[in-house]
Formats: sequence, C-alpha cells, structure tokens
Amino acid sequence: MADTGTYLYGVLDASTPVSVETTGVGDAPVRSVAAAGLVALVSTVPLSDFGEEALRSHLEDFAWLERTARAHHQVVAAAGAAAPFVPVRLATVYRNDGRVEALLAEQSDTFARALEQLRDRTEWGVKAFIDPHTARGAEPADEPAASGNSGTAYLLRRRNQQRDREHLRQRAASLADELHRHLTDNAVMSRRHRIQDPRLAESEGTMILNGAYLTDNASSSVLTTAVDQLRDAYPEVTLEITGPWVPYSFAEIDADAEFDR
Amino acid sequence: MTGVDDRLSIVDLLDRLLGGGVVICGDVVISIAEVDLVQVSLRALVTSVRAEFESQHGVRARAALPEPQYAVRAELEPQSS
Repeated sequence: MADTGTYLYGVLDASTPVSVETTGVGDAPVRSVAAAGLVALVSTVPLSDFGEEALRSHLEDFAWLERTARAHHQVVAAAGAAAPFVPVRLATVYRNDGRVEALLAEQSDTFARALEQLRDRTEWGVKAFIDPHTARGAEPADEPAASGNSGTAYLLRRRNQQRDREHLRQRAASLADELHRHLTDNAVMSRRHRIQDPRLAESEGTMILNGAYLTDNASSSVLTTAVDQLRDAYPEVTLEITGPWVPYSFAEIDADAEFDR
Repeated sequence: MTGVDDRLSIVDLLDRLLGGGVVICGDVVISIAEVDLVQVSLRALVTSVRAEFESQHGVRARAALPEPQYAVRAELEPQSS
C-alpha cells in the first residue's frame, strides 16, 4: 500500500515548459507530470500528512494551513510568472502520478480552454472599505418620543437603531455594486469573493467589496486608472489593490462558475 | 500593491486558494466546503489575534461592525445583536 500521494498545484501547456526551483508543500520539491500536451506541476507528499484523515485535521490547524497555503502559492506564482498556468485549489491530492496523467488526458480540452482564457492575463484584487461612523451621514432625527426612559422610548430607540443599521447595510450594498460595476467595465472579467471576516481585518473600516478583476497584461493600467477614478468619485471609500496575482479567481472551469461580464 | 509574497495577507491568499483555482476531484476527497473549513481554521486565528490584541491594548477587541449584505455568516459563535 503506497504511503505517498501526488499533490497537484496546477497545469500548463507542454509547449511552455517551466521548472520551479522553490520548494512546495511539506518542503517537497516540485516536479512535472506530462500527458496530452499538458504538464502538471506536482509534489510527492506523504499520506501521513496529506491523506484524507490527516488533511482534515491539518486544515483545522491554522499554522499548518498558512504554511501550506504560502508554499502552494509560491509554486503557483513562480509557474505563472513564466507561462500561462491554471492553478487548482489547495489540497488536491491524487494517489499517484498515473492518476494525474489520466486527469490531464481526460480533461485536456477543458484545461486547454482555461489556459487560453488566462493567457497573458493577470488578476488584481480590489477591496473597498467604508467607515461606518462617518458613512451614517445625515440620519433623520429620532422622534421626541424616542428620548426618555420609558419602555416605549426604549423600543423606539431599538427600532431606530435597527432601521439605521438596515439603511447603512443597503447603502453599503448599493455602493459596493456601483464600485464593482465600474471596475468590471474596466476589466476583462470580474468576480466577487465573500466579504472577509471583520475579526481578521488588517485595515480599519468595514469591508463592502472584495473583488477580483482580470486584465490583459497589455492594459493593466486601465484598472488602476479606474481605481483612481473611484477614489476621486467616492472619497468616503478606501480602496486597496492587491496583485498581480496568477488568475486563481478565474481558473474555474465548471459550468456553474459565476463571472461578471 | 503587495511586495514580497511573504507579506501577502493570508486572508487574501485563502480567498483564492480555497475559493479559486480549478475545482477538480482529487483522489483524496476532502469537501472543502469553504464556510466550514475556513471558519474552523479562522476560529483558531481569530482566537490568537484577539488574545494578542487584548494583551497589547488592555481592551476587548472591537465587536464586528454592521455586516454588509455579502458578509460571511460566522456560525460558530452567536451573533451579537
């Protein structure tokens, strides 16, 4: 019974061979598996760490998850810098190289289409934040009945607070849609990720948009210009750009993927 | 713009590594239900971040701000109202 598996990082075209020097997950070296005109970048990994049970518990260990995520990303970034590369999701493990060859052969058309989609394109992340305190703006004054200490006043205040929160939510949502629309108009494709958990926030403010935007390498500045335009138009919004990224957010080849364009 | 990859936000990375990339079935079948997996892992991080924050600042870490429409619902802990 084999005690190792084949960890997959992603796929590139055999016509653009890439050798990745950086070590991969679990400190394993990165190597290639070729089939059907495609090349998969892989590492041999012990099933004691990457088998099903082990993965389940490791993935709940944030330190392990972070180490593995960063190592995985280093490989993808190195490959993507050298050639069009279709990244696969973290923790995709096959029993052996033969299974990866079979994957390449079975899915050669879909990988080829995905490669074409990502060729000479780059992903940028744009996150938008507002300050919920200043974003409240002019709120209707509370009715006089909401002041005072009576039970009714208390309930009115609660209702007003909930109404205010709801208004803020709606304004944040339509503002986010507006920002995303403008950025989408200046990108090849776009996608919205979930808002990041506020407890993990590394910046001040409430995140209202977590977008990913695919640009042609020849015209990436179109997107950064669009971000600057938004900064001018919406001074109450803080916009952060991340990138360049290998187009992780646009590599999905399942039919249900939702992209905006 | 990000510089050295080491400084990439782990949260930005996980958005992409767990939420992006081709989703194909490996032989080791882990259903990385994003919410389940990431929430469980994030809880460990949030706990350590919050503890560090509190010890540095001597105050309770701020509560979650009003959530926009697309916020991840943190099912692990009861929502504060």
